[in-house]
Amino acid sequence: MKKAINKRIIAIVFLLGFIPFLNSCTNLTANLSTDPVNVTDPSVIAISKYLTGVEVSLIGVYEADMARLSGMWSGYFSGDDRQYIGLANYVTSGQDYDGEWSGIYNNVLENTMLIKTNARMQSNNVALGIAQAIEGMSYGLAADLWGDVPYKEAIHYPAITTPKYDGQASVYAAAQSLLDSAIANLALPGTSTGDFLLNGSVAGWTAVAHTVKARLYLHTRDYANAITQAQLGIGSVAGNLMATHGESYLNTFNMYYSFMTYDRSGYMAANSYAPALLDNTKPNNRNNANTDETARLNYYYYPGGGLNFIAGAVAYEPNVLCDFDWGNPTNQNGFFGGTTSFPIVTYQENQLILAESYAKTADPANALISLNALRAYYNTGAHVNSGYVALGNKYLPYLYSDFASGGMENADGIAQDQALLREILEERYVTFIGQIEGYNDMRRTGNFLKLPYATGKTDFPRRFLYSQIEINTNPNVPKTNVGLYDNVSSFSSAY
Amino acid sequence: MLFDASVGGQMWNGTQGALTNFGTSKYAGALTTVSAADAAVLKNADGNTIQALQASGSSRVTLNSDGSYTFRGEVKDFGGGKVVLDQSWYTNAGSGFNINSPFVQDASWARLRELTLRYSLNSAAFKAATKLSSVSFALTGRNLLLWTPYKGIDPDTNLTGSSNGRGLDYFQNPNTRSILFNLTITY
Repeated sequence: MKKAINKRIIAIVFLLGFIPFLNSCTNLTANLSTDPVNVTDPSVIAISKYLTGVEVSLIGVYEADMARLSGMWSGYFSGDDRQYIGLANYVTSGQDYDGEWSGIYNNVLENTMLIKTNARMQSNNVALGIAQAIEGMSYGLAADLWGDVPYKEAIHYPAITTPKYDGQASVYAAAQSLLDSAIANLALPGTSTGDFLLNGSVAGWTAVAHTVKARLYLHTRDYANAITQAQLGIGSVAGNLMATHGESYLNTFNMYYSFMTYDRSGYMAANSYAPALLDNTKPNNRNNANTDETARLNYYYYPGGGLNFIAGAVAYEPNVLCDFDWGNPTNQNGFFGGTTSFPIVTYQENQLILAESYAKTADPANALISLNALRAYYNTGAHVNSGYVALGNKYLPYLYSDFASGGMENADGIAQDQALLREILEERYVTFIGQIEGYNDMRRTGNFLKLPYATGKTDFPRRFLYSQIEINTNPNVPKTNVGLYDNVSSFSSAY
Repeated sequence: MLFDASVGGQMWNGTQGALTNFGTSKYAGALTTVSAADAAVLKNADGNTIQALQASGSSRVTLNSDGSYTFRGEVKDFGGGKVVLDQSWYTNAGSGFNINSPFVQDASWARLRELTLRYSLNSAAFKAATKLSSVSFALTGRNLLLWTPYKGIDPDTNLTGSSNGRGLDYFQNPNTRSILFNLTITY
């Protein structure tokens, strides 16, 4: 009996000893939201954490599904297995855009709204400015791809669950005004902690905002403003907005690499127009006495396959070579390699916005200067990985006479300024390999370059379809003239 | 004897959709022969006529000695005139990887779930002779017969197991058929 009591006392003391620890768990969860729906309550998470997250989401918008789909439709890639065969042949429906739509609205725009709210409360103008710049480019992209999209009533959950759609032109205007606000706020006090895309550079974000403004003015054919903004835009490749990548699958990988080598190997090759245009062994390629595209071809594409495709099975595949996985020298990492940075907004684009805008406003002299400035940069070989330069890299400046009928860049005898414009658009086309902007160009210029359609097709997709989830839940989704071959309104008139 | 039935409902036949894409579904594997005149006008999803395909050296079309053409696939009229469904269709718009609605099918079924035949020996003479109270033999068959308009193997299955997401068929196993013999000896 005595023994039993002793045991009981020992057990009670033992359990009492745990009581102080029972409380200690609350310290771990202090200051965290207890709301299971709103777990990321903006009042408890630092702006810097949000900013990093939004930037990662932005990479997902520009480098993942939308870029691959638009790349297959604009001749950068080919669909070679399962659903990618159909997608490349314009077989697509609303559900193919659920992820794309939520990538912009849920992952980016919903969170920039939270940053903005928080940044205003904390008078952090710089973070506010970066968030507005990201918003401006995202709304601009949504307008590019879908035309009419929600803007005014978007991201007002739960007050508005079925936002109205705004006209494409008004969304572009709103994006311009967001970018104006971004530029104004970036000039005011604040911190950019958490920004890893430009390492917190306020001047860098200001220049990016100007280039994005120029991009959107170019899309709305306001060439005068496009020139003004591009002149304030990214002035050198050091200021490029690049998505940086690393060697960790499902984490820091280049998203093209992840898709093509790990997740869906064999789905997407490049039996397509762009590599053949660069390849001096192919008819109608763009090499000439002043231009050698061999380095660029081999940096972006891998002729003959043999990486993710059996050698000889494809004409080209995207160049996914990198030092890990393939044991390749680092200076021969391909454009789609695992650690290769991916361009979102660049100096190259800025120069080409200038060139095209000048060309479209009857100023061929300045158009040529802008084009040749970019070619001078390409001629250094810095646009490709250094291991490719020796294969052949030459971009000598063009003379205006090269575009005269019968000149180097006008063998088919079209008007001189049209030949210059064609070369500028073609340079844009090969500069934007893998980027959505190439597909935007194809649509907004009425396919000026005559990029080929999918086999057996008489037109190419003029827009992205609305997300099926959006169609199912929002009665405001536009229902007329939103078929795959219906132009978005801003691109419908002649270029 | 036990009958089981489920009436109504639809099922996504993802198995058929995938096999159609790979050319191993019986619906994509029919051999069709068309006359030379038809071969010159009937087009496939790529916009090529059967004749042009054969002329381009495609192994998908054979030119027969009587001038007719044989290809793997079928001729179908969706309402806009006859077209050829062949590889270019089955790996494109006709593939289950792209458009699912053609592979959503009626999932009604009825089946003979279980049938048992039993014979018992328990007559007085048998008991006297064997000193046993009884011996019975039984033959049981499970899942012997299935009646369904569904084109897959078995609509009475589900991809995600016993979850709320019903009506999905993507390469899961069908119900197994089994035959049991039972001998019961009672002392």
